[in-house]
Amino acid sequence: MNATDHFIAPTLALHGDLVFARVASADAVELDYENSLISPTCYLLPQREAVFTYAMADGAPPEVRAVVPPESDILFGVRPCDVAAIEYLDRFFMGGEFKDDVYARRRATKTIVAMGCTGPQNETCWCTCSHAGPVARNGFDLQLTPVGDDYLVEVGSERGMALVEPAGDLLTEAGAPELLAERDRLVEASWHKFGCQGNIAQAMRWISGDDTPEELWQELGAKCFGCGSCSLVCPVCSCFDTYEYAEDGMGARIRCWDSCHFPGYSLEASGFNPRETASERMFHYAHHKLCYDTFSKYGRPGCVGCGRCVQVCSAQIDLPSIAQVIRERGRQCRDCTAHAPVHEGAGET
Amino acid sequence: MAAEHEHGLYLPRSIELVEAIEENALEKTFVFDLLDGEPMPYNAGQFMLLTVFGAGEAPFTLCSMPGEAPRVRLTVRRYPGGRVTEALHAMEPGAHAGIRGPFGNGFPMDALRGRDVLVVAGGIGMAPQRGLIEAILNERDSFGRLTVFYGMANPEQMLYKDLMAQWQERDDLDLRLTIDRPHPDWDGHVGLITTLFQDFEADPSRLSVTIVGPPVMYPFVTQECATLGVADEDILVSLERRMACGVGKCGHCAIKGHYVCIEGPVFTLAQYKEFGED
Ligand code: SF4
Ligand code: SF4
Repeated sequence: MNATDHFIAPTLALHGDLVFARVASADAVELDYENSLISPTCYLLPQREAVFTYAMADGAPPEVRAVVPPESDILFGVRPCDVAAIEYLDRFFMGGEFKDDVYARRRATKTIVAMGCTGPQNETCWCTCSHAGPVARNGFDLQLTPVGDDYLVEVGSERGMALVEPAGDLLTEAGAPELLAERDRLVEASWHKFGCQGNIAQAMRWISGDDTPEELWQELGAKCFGCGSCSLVCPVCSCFDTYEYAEDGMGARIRCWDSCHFPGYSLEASGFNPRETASERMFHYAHHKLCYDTFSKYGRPGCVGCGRCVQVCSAQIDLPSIAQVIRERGRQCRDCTAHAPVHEGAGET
Repeated sequence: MAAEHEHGLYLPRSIELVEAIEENALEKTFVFDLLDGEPMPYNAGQFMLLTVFGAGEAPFTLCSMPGEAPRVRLTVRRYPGGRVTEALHAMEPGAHAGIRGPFGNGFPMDALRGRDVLVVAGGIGMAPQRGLIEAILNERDSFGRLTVFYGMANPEQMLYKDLMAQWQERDDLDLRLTIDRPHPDWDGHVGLITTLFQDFEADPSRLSVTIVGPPVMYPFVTQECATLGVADEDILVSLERRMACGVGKCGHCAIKGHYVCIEGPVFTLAQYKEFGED
């Protein structure tokens, strides 16, 4: 490890919650852990960050300064779902016509050390269905997967290589093919333990073909509290808002997480709101997550199956539940009105 | 594009307020000079993100004529309680602000060349279309008939009064004004903007229509266009959406995967119907 690198790893916070935070010593690192409620992607797109700062002076234009790139960090123990989320965010922020330099500067300083899973960490994991896990296929600099008493170490980049070289004497290449085969066997055997199977692809087909009835969105909208929790904890959700912080002639443009479930998300200064109702917002959220538009642009659905929204949504209309209702009710509802109400289908994934 | 953003997507360029023209009780036109002296080419219908330091940033469509740079002109309504618009309206000439852009597609000038153009502007919808009208007048011979419908609630609300008087004198521009309800200071046409279609004759195969106005206006005006026989591909609408970035990242303006800030704000009615409102 480079002396200037910070080590961000799964560790226990004051009251026992698992968080990704800077750790001062290896003792503080948790190696057997359920994923954190706040994804380590928060080190790439923080809940709040300065985009630029400025100093105001009378009679002269304010002096605007870009924010200095952060120091480099090793993100250790990133679960494969979050690795997939980082790949998605990379494409979203750094691909296309405009490259988000604020994201890119943070990203350039991060080394990703993934921790593969050989089974679900808890009952909310559904990465097998969202094509993200339980082990990462790419997107990491280094991936460790526990197999018995050993770790299988996979190198994904030159950066990853540079990390393992100094640890040469701890590593042996000899058993690697066997470990790899054993890991893949464990992963495959764990498949049936994941609660939710195979419905995201079908939900994507229905929703992309507009084969979802209006009442479905109204029912989901009627249940939603608009608290935004599902998107705030989602490692793929990237919407942000900006606001100004200024005091004593100094100021900063801050960007912060936002959620399309908030009633004010699309509200314009004129008072016009193109997504005025919770059902319209639910429709938008689900389409952004599940439509082929997202798939064709970013190579995957807007969900990596981390299960965080399942943990936080008190209305039990998290994304897996939405996908399931779409699958169950998407098509037949065009002609059939005698269907089960939403709550019977939702929340049981 | 890339080179323009070498200092970062989000860093505003410095501008200085040259003039703030009071259009009516709520709306002012702000004329800013770009202090770095660099040119800023743009198309009519593109928008900028304007920073009022200490208050925040908001999107506004340019109403200046393309080519007027390094000077930009924006007409902005003050919304009571709106941090950016209130702070902007309080600015005096000589004050500094920031600007990013231009963003979005703007009006498809190539597609409009050679065609008759009907501009339908409701209220402050005249602001983004002023640049379009001036761009057409600038190359007048490249376009067919130019008709402008401009509707407002009452005569006081009229933007660019001097310019309107000049336009009314021209014989290569047919400007038709209307106010919603009778008013003592008005002897012109009275009635909603759709009533102007009653005396309008056009060859729908040669006609393109641009529409910008309050949201309630769109369904009624597009219905009139349909009655006239104008194809959805030849009807252009400029959508207004809340935006925090202008570059397809913040998410606010997205409609079913389409980012108004990048693919729009100008869409054909056919495109708009295809992705629909959600
Ligand atoms: S939608 Fe839910 S399960 Fe999917 S990535 Fe986001 S928080 Fe995780
Ligand atoms: S967490 Fe549940 S209730 Fe809250 S906004 Fe998301 S879907 Fe709605």
